[in-house]
Amino acid sequence: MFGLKFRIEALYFTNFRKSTSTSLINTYSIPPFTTLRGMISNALGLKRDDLRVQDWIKIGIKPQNNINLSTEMTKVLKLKGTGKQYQKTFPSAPIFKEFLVNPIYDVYVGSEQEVIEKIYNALKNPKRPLYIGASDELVDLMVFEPVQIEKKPFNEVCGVVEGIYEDCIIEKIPYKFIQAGRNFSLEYKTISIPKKGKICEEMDLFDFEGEGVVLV
Amino acid sequence: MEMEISVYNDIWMDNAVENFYRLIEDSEEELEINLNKTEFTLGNVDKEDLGSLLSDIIQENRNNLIVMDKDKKTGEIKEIKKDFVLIQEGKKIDGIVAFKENIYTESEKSVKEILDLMEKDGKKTCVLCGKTFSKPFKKMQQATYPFVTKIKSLSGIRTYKDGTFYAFKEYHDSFCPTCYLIGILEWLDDRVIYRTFPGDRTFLFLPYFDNFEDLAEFKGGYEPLLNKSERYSNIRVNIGENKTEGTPGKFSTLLCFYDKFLFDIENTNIIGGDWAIIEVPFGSVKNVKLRLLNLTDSTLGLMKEFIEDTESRIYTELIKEIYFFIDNPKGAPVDWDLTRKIQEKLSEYFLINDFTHFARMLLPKKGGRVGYSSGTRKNLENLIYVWRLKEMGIPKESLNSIKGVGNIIAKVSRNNLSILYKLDKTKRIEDFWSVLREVSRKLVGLDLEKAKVRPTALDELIQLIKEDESQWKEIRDLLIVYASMYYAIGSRGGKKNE
Repeated sequence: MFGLKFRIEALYFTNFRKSTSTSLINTYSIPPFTTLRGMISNALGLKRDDLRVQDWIKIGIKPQNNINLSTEMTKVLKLKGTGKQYQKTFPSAPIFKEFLVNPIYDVYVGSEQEVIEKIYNALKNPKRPLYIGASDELVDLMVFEPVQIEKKPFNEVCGVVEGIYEDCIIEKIPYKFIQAGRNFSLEYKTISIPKKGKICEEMDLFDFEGEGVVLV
Repeated sequence: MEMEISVYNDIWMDNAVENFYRLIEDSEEELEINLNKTEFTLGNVDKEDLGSLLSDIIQENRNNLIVMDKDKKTGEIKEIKKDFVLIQEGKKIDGIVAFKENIYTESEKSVKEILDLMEKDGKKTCVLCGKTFSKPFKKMQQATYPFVTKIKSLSGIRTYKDGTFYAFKEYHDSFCPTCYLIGILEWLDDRVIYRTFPGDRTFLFLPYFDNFEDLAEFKGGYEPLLNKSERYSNIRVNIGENKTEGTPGKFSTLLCFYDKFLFDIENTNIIGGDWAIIEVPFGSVKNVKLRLLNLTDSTLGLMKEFIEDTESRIYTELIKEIYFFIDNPKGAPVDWDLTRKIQEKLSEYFLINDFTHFARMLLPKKGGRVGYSSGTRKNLENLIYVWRLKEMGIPKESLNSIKGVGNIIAKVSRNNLSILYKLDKTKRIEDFWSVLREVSRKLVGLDLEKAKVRPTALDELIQLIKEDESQWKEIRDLLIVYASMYYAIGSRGGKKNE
C-alpha cells in the first residue's frame, strides 16, 4: 500500500458547515472526509457528483494548530429561482457564522500506488484552483513525496481516531455520500480529535515514515 | 421493541437523549434501560406498553412548557407557553395552550404512529443520526432541532436537475422518527437553565459533555436549584423556595448558577464547565443564536476556592451588591440600568478570566461612581486575593502597599479624575512610571494628615515592581480596583481603612 501526505493551510478563515444548521452556520472542527475527497476530486478535474474518489482512498487527518473558533455576522445570499434564467440580484439574510481561523491540517491518504501517484500529480498541478470550505476560501498546499506504508504497532497516535477516546473533542463528521437515484444521503463517522495532540494508547497504525496514522 | 441511540455529539440532541432516559427512569416503570458513556439502550419492551408510557410521560410533564398566569383583561387564570419554547402554538381553547405538535395534543396517537415508523427500516438516511429509516414522521424543524429554519431559500442545497440546470434539494425530510421523538421531547427537560427578558430575548443554557454519563450526573446534581414553574427565570433564590433570581444577563445567570451549585449542592463529582448558550429572540421569526462558553478549570477552581475560603457567593454577595451611584441625584440615587450593565459585565469578565476589564468596570464614570457596602468591599478584596494575589505570589504585606498607593491615587484624583483614567490607559511600563510620577507630584499639594494617606506606600510599590517588572500590568489593574474603591468610599463621605 502507498501513502501520501499533504499539508493544507486554509488562508485566513474557513468554515466546514454542519448541514443541519440552517438558521445559523456552525462548523466542524476539522474538514470532513467528504470535503477532503471533494478537494482531491477538484484537483483531478472530476465533474460534479462524481464520487469515485471515495471508493479509492482512505484518509487520516492531523490538525497542526489549535482549533481556533470564532463567530461573525455574515450576509448570506438566498437561493432563488430555478437557474433557468439569468438572475442579477439575490435577496440576503444576516446569519451568525462560526469560522476557523487559519487552520492547518496534515492529511494522509492511503491507496494503491497508481491512485496515489495520480493524486500526487493532481495536487502538484491541480486542474482547478483548490479551496476548502466555502468556494472562495483558497488553500495553500504542501505535498510530500509518496511513500510505501504498512501497519505497525505504535504506542501513541497523533491525529484523528475513529471512535470515542478520553480527553478528545468528539465529532460526528460526514464520511461518505451514498447515492440513491438522484438523491444523496450521508454516512457519518464518530471521530476523536486529541486535545493535547496525541492519544497514548497502543494501536496498529499506518507508518508514514515514523508517524503513526489512523486511516479511515 | 428495542432502541439503541449512540451519542450524537450534538448539544441539543445529546441533552435530548439524556432527558429521554431520565423521563423513562423517573416514571418508575421497570424497563430495561441503560445510559452508558456512549449509548442509550432500551431493550425488550412491548411497543404498546412503551407507547402508553411515553404518552403518559408527555402529559405529566407538559407543564414544563407552560406557566399559569392571570389574563390581564378578564383576570382568568390561563396557560401561557414559555417564551422560548419553539413549538408553534394555535389559538387557545378555554385558556389551554394548543400546541401545533400533535405529540403534545394527541400524545397517544402520535406516539403510536412514531413507534410504528421506528420499527420499519428503509432506504432513507437521517441527516442527523445517519441511520436508515423508511418514512419521516415530520420534517426537521425548529421545534425538534432549534438550529434549522424553514425558510426554503436557506435550507436547500444546489443541485443539478436532469443534469441541465440548478434546482433546490431540501433535505429536511431526511429526518428519522427516532430523532423527531427525541428532539421534540427535549422541551420537557426541566434541567435546562433559562433567563427571559420580556420583549427582548431568552437565554437557554445547555451543558455539554463528550459522554452521556457525566452529562446525566451533572444535570441530576443541579436539578434542585431550578424551579420550572416560573416564566422568566428558573434559578431559585434558595433551594426549596419558589422565588427565582432576576439576573441582568447571560453571564450573570451562569455565575449565579455556579454560586448556588458550588455553595448548596453537596457531593458533586462532576462540575461541568462547557455550556451552549442558545439565544431565542422574541417575535415571530425565531432564528436562534448559539454561543459556546468553555469555562476553564482555573475559573471553576477559583469559584470553589472563594466559596470555601469566605463562605460567600461571588454573584449574590459581591457582584449583585455593586451599584452605580449618580452624583448629585435629583431623583433616585442609583442608576439601575447602568448598575445592571456593570453587574453583567463584571460577571462576564470574571467568567472569562479577564481581570483588566473587570477592574475597568469599577472605575468612576461620568456622572457617578461605582459603590458598595463595607461587606461587599471585603468580599471584593477576598476575591482579588484568591484571583490575583495568590497566583502572583504577592504576600499580604505587599498588598498593603498596593492599597496604600490606591488610596493616594483616589485622593489625588478627587478633583482630577484624569489621573485614574491615565492609569487605566497605560500600555507600557514607561507610561505607568509616568503616571506614578504625576501622582507623586500631586502628593506635594495634599494635606497628608487630613487626607489620611501614607506616602511611603509609593516607595514600597516601586520596590515591589522593581523586583519583578513583568507583573506591572497586574499591579496596575489592582491599583485601579483599589483606587476606585477608595474613591467611592471618599465620595460617600465615609472613612477609609487601609
